Amino acid sequence: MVRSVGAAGLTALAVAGAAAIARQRQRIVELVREREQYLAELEHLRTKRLPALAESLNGMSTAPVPGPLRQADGTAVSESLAELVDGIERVVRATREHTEQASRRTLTGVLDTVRGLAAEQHMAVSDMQHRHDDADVLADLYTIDHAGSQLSRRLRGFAVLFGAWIGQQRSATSLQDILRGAQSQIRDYQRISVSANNPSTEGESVGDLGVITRVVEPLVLLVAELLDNAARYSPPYAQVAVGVQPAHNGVAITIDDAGVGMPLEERRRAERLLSKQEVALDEIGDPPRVGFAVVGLLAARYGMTVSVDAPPLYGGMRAVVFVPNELLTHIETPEESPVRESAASESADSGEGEAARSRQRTPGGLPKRSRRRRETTTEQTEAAPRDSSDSAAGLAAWQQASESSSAVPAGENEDEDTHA
Amino acid sequence: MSPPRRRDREALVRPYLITGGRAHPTRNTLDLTTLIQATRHADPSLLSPEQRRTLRLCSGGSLSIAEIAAHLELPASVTRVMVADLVDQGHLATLSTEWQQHGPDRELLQEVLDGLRALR
Repeated sequence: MVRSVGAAGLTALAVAGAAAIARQRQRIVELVREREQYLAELEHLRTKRLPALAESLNGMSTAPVPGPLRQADGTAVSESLAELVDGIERVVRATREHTEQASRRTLTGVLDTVRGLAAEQHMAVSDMQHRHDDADVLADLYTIDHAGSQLSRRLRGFAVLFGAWIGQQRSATSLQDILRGAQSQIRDYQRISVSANNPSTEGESVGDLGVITRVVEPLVLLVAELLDNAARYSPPYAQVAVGVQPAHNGVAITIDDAGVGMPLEERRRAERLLSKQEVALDEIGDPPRVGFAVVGLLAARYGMTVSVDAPPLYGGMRAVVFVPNELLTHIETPEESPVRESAASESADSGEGEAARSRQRTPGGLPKRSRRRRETTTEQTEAAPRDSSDSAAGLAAWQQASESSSAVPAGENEDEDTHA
Repeated sequence: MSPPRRRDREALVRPYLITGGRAHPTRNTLDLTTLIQATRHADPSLLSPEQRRTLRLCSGGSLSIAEIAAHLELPASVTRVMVADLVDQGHLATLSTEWQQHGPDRELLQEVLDGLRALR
């Protein structure tokens, strides 16, 4: 009896032992599998996820960073792995941000010093052109002035990239002078033909349409960069045509070159940069190529739209800058009507003519001479109709629309902040 | 020459652009006092804004090169190139110098003298 009880006990013990061993074996198998999974996860992290994360953080790739091999299962290990990856990303981003800001501050400081000197020099050259009335001297001054204008454009481009002040503020300026100002600032300015005449309305001028104070310099710089690109990518004998077209709710500035077009890779880069709201310093490249980056930033900051494409019709590239109505204004044609004395009144009543003339005096009391009629060797000309009233009938409607939508007179924008 | 006027900023449209990069006028008969007058026949629609302003300035009577330059705030040498072009194209005509034709304008000299006295 005792023996049988003992045997039964032993048997039970053996069964229980066997079950425990089986469970433990099972547990060991599970642990080994988990360990292998974690090792595979770590290997995946080391060889795939971290490199992908690094590429994405450096802007070298836009592909999504791969996640873990297995979905998070709530275990301590998988959570800490997830936190580790997030932590790495946070630290890298913070470091990059800090470096970027510090670099921008340094570069802006350096830039300000150089810009000050460049502006001083450019102003000196401007003054010299007024001071010296000699064609040979003028020819030399042209060369220096042209180089100075290009330098100033480059410096303003860098300022835009560094997030610094774009530069001097100008009063509201006609679109034609905006385009010609931009033309002044590129190397091959003689290859650019600006026509403010609108082909669709039969040569009628958009000369009295301009942009408000705040966007004068930005638009000049933006157009200059596009012109520079157009001239660069077209043969040296070909013209680059610039025009202004009325568009829905604004105007479109078109820049057409007769080049071979940009290589596909370049165009992709251009499109990418044009769509950016922000450009990191390390995207500028070495040697620095800032044109499209500057164009994209300016367009985004000031509410304009820029597109670059290759219409099959042209063979070259076409860049279109859309300037919305709220940035447009009406520019008064400079009033140039010094008292018009008719020959008749001057001969018949010279006293009155004299009185009219003597009324025109400078604040200092010097007589201000306006034109006088004389016996001339050419035929007497009648007063030509002033051409300020010849604004295109076809354009009147949208000009008015632009005026009413941008009801703020140009002057009121004078003090607006131009810090970009 | 008069001292240059101090400008607080450079012009947006540079002088070399206005003359297409040319510093030498197509004729060397234009000096600062040459009187210029607009002719009637030409079509100004293809001209630059500066050229159109010059035409407007000279459309009711004659102005000297120096005066045109002052109105446009351009250097005299630049104005000279532009005016020479306009004369070539028939938009402007030169008048033989007044001093040669009529001698000094006594009236004007008196006005200048009065003005100078008033400055003291």
